[in-house]
Amino acid sequence: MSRWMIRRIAEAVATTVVALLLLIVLLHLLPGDPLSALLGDRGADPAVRADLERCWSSHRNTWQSVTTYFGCLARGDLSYSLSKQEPVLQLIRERLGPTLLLGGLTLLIDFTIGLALGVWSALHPDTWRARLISATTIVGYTLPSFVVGMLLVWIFAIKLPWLPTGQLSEVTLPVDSGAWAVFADHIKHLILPLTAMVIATIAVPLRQQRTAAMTTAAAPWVLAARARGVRPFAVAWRHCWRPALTPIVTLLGLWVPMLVAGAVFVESVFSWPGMGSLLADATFARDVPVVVAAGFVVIVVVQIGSLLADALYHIVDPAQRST
Amino acid sequence: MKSQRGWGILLLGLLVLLAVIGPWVAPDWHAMSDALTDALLPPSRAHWFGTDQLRRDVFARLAYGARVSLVVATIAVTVAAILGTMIGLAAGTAVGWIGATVQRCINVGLALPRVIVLLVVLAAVGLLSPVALGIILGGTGWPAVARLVRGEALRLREAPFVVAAHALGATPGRVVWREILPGTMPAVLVATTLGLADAILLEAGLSFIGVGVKAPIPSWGGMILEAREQLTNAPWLLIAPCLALGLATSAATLLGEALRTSLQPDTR
Repeated sequence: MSRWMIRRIAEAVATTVVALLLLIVLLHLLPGDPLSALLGDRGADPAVRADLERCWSSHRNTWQSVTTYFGCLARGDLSYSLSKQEPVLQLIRERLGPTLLLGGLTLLIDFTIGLALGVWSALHPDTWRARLISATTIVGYTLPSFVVGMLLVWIFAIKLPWLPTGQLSEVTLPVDSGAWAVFADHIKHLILPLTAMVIATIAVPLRQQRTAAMTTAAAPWVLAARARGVRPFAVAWRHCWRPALTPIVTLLGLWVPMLVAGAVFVESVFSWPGMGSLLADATFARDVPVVVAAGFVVIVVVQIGSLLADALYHIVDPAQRST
Repeated sequence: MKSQRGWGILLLGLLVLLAVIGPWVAPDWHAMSDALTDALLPPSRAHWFGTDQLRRDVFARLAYGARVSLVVATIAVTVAAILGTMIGLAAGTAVGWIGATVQRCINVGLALPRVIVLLVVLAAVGLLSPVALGIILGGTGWPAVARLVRGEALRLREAPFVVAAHALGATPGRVVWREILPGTMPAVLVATTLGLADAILLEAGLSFIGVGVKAPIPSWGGMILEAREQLTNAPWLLIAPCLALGLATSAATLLGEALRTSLQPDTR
């Protein structure tokens, strides 16, 4: 744990706190008193109102409400959901798993297959397959994730009824079905949302990697390696990919926002019970406690992600180590 | 990359044409046909893109949706460009702790996922008019512009003509407004054009989850949401807005990339 790492962690924590602070202040600057904004058109059931008063009160000024909310947060009290009639913490606990599964698999595919395809198309620039790859990434880049999702549903769930249109698992699946059947069912439900997420996000790593690998592919040492008769795979892996690697890590900064937006919209298309659809549904229901708490969790996850990426960058790039 | 720019301008021109004269040529967008048999008609001569479940003409809604989408996105990028330029200039030219503080603010803005901020605001204020939605989209889009402007301002601060202006006794205000600001404009233009695609996508996404443009007003995202219920029997309801969205974002992306190559050759 170097001094650099400690400073970077402090920075991440500060950013997260300031971000949450800004969100709460923003809520106060918006017209209307916060509590009635929270309750919206719903009648104020005294029990619900009391529950809300703990963390969100109308009688406090901006500074007091910030300290109150942070106090609640420190106690692990995320207030109460207005639309789901459940503690927010419990909702988030249920929804975090599916999102991390979908997001984690997207990350894995983007940064393995995406990078490999990037290197491959840099080494074979004028083949039809490379053109197909770049055409696909342009589609993913220009079409919004939910459009990709809807088109996938239309083609693979309606026209060709191969896959389910949404949800995490089949409700009609017999309770006594074996572990294998349950697993297969989960995989079936995962394919379309995962494909939509990958198409929507893979363009960033793939294009960046292709550009970087194209520069290294033209390097004299690659020509020398080829002339020596090094196997093509080793040329791609050791001579082209490794030197082109460093920019990829900084790329996470571009890629993570796409992932977050993708999660919100794609999860909504497929009714995937994750944080994204929770945020979307809660915004639609104007359930402010849920939106703020879930948004905060997303920000924390994003910060942890970029922290890890920075640490990785430090390890991968020797020039960074001395600082 | 001349062809890229050409395609971008052509596609964007087509969309503007659709937005300007489309609603005028097509039947009224909220007119519901009286004949019950007019619901969910496939594309035909009378209804170019078919009709929806409420017997409305899809082409008319698409054209009016183009108007809504372009207006919202234009307001968004204008607001983002103005805010971003001012904040970026402040971060790049102010000396001492002020510049550093503004720079921190930009970093926090960049670290906050835009969708999350938008959802928090929309959850608090509810459904908005297209103009207000555009302003809020712009209010969350400035960090990307500000980062670029700051970089340009830092570079220009050391440029010979700026140093000369200082030496000739120009006031700091004059140097910022007359010497540095014009130099940041190419970067702002590129960021704005590319931001147009983002704004169109975000508006569509928000309308798709039902928190963007209000339901009776046609928007491409809202149309896709409505198409969802009719996927089995009326796929044209899905295809038409999807094509329009793809067209709009490709146009903005192509144009933005082309502008980037011609205005900032060194960033390629």
